[in-house]
Amino acid sequence: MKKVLQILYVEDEPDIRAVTELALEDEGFELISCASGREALDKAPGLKPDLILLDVMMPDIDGPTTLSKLRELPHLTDTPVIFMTAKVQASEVEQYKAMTALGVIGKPFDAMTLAGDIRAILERSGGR
Amino acid sequence: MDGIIVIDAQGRIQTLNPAAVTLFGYAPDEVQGKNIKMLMPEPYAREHDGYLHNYLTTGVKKVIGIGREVTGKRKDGSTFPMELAVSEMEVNGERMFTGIVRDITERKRAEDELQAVTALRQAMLDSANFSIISTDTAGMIQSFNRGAERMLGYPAEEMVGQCTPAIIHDLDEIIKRAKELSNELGEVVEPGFEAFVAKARKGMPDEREWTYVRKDGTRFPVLLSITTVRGAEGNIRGFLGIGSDITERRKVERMKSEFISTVSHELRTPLTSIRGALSLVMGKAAQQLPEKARRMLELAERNSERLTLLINDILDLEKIEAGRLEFNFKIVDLATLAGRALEDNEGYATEHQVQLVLDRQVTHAPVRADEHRLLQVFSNLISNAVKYSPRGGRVEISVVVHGDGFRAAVRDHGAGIPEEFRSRIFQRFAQADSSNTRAKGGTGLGLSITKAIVEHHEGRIGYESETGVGTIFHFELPAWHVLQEATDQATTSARVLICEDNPDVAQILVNMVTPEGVICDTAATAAGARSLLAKHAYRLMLLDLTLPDADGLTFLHELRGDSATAQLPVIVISGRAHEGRVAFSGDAVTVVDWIQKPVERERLERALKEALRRTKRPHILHVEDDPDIVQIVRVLLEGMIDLTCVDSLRGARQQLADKIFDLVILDLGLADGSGVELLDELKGHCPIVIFSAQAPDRAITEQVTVALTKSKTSNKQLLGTIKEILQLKAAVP
Repeated sequence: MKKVLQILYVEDEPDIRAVTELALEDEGFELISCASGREALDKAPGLKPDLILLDVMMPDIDGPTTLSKLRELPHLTDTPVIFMTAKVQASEVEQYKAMTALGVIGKPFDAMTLAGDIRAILERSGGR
Repeated sequence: MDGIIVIDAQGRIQTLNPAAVTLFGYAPDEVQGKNIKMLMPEPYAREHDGYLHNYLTTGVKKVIGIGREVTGKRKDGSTFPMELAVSEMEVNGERMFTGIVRDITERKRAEDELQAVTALRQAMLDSANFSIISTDTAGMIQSFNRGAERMLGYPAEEMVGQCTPAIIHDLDEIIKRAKELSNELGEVVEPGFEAFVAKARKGMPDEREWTYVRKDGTRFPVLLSITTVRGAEGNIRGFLGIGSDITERRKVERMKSEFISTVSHELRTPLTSIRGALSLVMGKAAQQLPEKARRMLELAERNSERLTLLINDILDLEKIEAGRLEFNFKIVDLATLAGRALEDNEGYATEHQVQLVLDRQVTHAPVRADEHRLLQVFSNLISNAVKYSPRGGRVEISVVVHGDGFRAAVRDHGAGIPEEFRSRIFQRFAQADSSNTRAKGGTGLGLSITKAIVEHHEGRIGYESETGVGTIFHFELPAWHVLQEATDQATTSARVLICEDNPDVAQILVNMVTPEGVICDTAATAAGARSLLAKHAYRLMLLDLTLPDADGLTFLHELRGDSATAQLPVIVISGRAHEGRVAFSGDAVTVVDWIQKPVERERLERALKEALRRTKRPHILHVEDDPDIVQIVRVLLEGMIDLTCVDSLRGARQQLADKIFDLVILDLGLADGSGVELLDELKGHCPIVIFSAQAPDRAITEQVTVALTKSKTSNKQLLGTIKEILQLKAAVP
């Protein structure tokens, strides 16, 4: 049995959050879900997740801003990050990568393969 | 024929000729003796008596001796314009007036028509909404209409005869356009006026968006259409550019596109949840569900998939139209892509029990394209073909040479496209009919997107369809002629031309050759090679025998037949090198080596070194005081050798003191002495060709390689002799 990976998950849409939780929880992931960037920033100091999974378009604080604020926390500077977004044009993906994201999962995603997709991104980047 | 009417001082008609009779429609006796007024409409008729009286008493003339345009009245009451000239005379002491009248209806109508045309043209030119600018063939502006003045802020007098349209354009855009056109047309289009008119010159339609720059520096987008202005013999006399400001249109397009983009993204959010939830239920709990519930959920899942595709397609289409779909252009091989497309769609085809067959008639088809988007094009066409194929049918995919480019085609043997649907086939949401939509699936946007992608590649898409026989969809892309042209303009390095259609192999060759200290240009086709050969002087060419647009051996023959390239050393690198070696046996001088693919690096390096050594440009010293001869020799030898010219013994001695020459061409009668004086010093230095007016005596000819007499030697002989000597020298290490 693989090690259970803890994910800090930020998504403002409750239904998508529910789907993602269902899709990942039986697949060796433990999710700490946040409904906003603000909530993630509040929770982050007490967490040491294996992965941060971020929506891009969110009210108030968007995904990229949330990420740059999380990166200011010393214990999260190297935590792998994956964005989940409908904006997946090549230049947009480049921007996410420039923001130290390991990869991007396009929306709408396939819930049945989501766990595998995340693992593939983590493995491709050398299992950081 | 003119009508002639004679009247007396009272205005009574005395005589008139038959032409006048016909003109007014009366019989002669109907007018004889009557007052001339009857031939005039009101108010002239009423005024005529008074006028005549006035003249007779005061001598004030209105028509007499002057001639003017007046209106005549026919018997039937109709009027017509006529020209009237009146002269006065005295007959038997009586004052008479002779009027000569001419019907000018036709002339008037022609004048009116001309006037209407002129007015129409002027109205068009004055249109404030279009800039209309004409130039001569060299680009000098000849006219600059009011619309152009208003749009651009320059008064016409600052432009006409003063400058070319470049001043109102973005320089970078012109440079970019020139590059695009060079690629598209397979010939060099200089960045400048040619970038505007190269297509029009070839009679091709040219309408595209440009940026105009106003006098105050502000910019705006225009849709500019450029056409030629031709003379009576069809020769180009100038160019006409009509531009319309599309700022507003752009704004509306942007709003529309933002709206679509927002809506689509908004739709995706709930769709993500629906699709995710359904997929989880179906994936994890399907077995525990009652049969009916499972069928309903399957239906829901299938439709959420369809909705996803639809939204993706709408977004794609919207992005293409707004120019925001990103294209990652690279040089790719259309033939390879066709193979990949087949593999990608094999699963789908098998599902429909359709067999995919690939027919590649070209091994390499270099095009400039976005790989991902072209695969999308293939997928759309293949999945359509599969959809409309009968079970057990075949779908054939082919890539062939087509004109100056390549054509990829996808053929099915289905029912064909219904006649009434053909006109709408590339329209959005167009599908043959609604029942088919259900039977066949798909969003109805595929072909529309496909067309847009192909057009974004400067390509064309089309189809042929026959009811009951099948349909072929095909798209054509221009061949990428020149893969790479070195930007390094340094002339000191040797320049090598690589003619190889496979971009990967070309790159490998470039990597192999560059360490030898040469500059490389790469052509993918014979056409590309020709245009590069016309532009640069090459020391060596690496040639692949299988080119998409020509047979390599034929191309080699062609090069040999052209004096400019007859001597160009060539290394043939090809899978068919053996075959070529046989066909070209005997051309050992210029074909340096035949190298079989795959290329062994060492073998290539050896051949390169050999070729570069052999082709080191010989350096000739020409000692000659007649500037005409100097000029002739320079032109004859241009590009093949380095030439140093001196006009005196002193100059020759200076050159010989610190340089080594491969050949000296020597005139004997020089200002400061005879060339003979140099012979001793030159002995053992290099071959000597005497080229002088008088035939030298035997004692001298024995000391030199060749002695030629100016008047007896043709340019060809001179050139042949020099080449022969230099080659003989090259053969002896």
